[in-house]
Amino acid sequence: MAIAAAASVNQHVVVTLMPAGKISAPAAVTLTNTSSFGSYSGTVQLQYNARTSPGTTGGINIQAASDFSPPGGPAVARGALTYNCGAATLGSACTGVQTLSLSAAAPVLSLPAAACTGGGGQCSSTDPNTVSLAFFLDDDPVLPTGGYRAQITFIYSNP
Amino acid sequence: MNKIRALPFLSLTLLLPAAAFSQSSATTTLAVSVAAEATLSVSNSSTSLTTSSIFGNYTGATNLTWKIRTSAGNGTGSITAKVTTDFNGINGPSVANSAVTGDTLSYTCAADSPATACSGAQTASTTAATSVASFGAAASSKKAGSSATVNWSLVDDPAYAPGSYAATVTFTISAS
Repeated sequence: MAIAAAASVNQHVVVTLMPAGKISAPAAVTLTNTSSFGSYSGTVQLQYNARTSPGTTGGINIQAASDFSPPGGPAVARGALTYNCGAATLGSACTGVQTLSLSAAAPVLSLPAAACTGGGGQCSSTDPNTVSLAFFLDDDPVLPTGGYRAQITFIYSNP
Repeated sequence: MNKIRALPFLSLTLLLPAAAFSQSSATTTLAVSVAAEATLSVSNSSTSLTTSSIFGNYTGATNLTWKIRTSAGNGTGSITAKVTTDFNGINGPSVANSAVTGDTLSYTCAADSPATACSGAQTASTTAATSVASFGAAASSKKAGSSATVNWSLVDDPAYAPGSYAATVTFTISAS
């Protein structure tokens, strides 16, 4: 007589998800002008994935990592580089004209508590989330002709 | 005989260290090519030429605002004037015929640094652009724009029929 053998084991898997974020930006953007002494402008689309905890908010800021090079041309240090934000697919994008700085981070967007990217429901329906930034560089006649480059850094943070 | 061995419930808990701060960053290079360029506007869209004495020349001034950036090295720039539409009307002043009649439309110039204003009286032409100002290498205007003035003088020939006459002058600025 065969005896059926059976056993069951329950296993609880508990994962505690921590606040996290990831951002990506194009490696390079060229600023151009369409009229003489109109501002040079260019657009950067920032992609991000975010998760904030129920009790805290998050955000993305921007700061100039290096001023325009070679020296003698446009200068972030003189407030020549500004930007404004387009609509964000998650969170609240900055409003008005913002000025980039070498010494302080400026806002790009703020994320509410319990925000998350993708999947719908309580999370956003888009994955990754995006926000566009339009940059404007003052075209001062005194700028010497030539090519100039500066680096900007986007910083995601969950405080 | 199979043995049944019941295992106690196994609870797996993944507890990540509580991060006090989560941060990620991305870097973009902004590139810009600053080129030689120039722009020009006329402050007064219409300049009236008037005279204060009988058969004295008709005079008036046109004010220009210009912005310019020329290249270092061999960069140059210029502002020129050309009569693109001659005075209308019959038996009135004519720029095109001034070489024959001697009844010229002439002008003198003044301009902010670093422009070099035209030297002496220039005779306006319907066929050639004539100089108002010139620029050398690495020249730049004020950010808000610099100024130049064209002071016109039109011979008042008694042969002109009474009336009102208008001509169009086109100013051109260029930079390299």
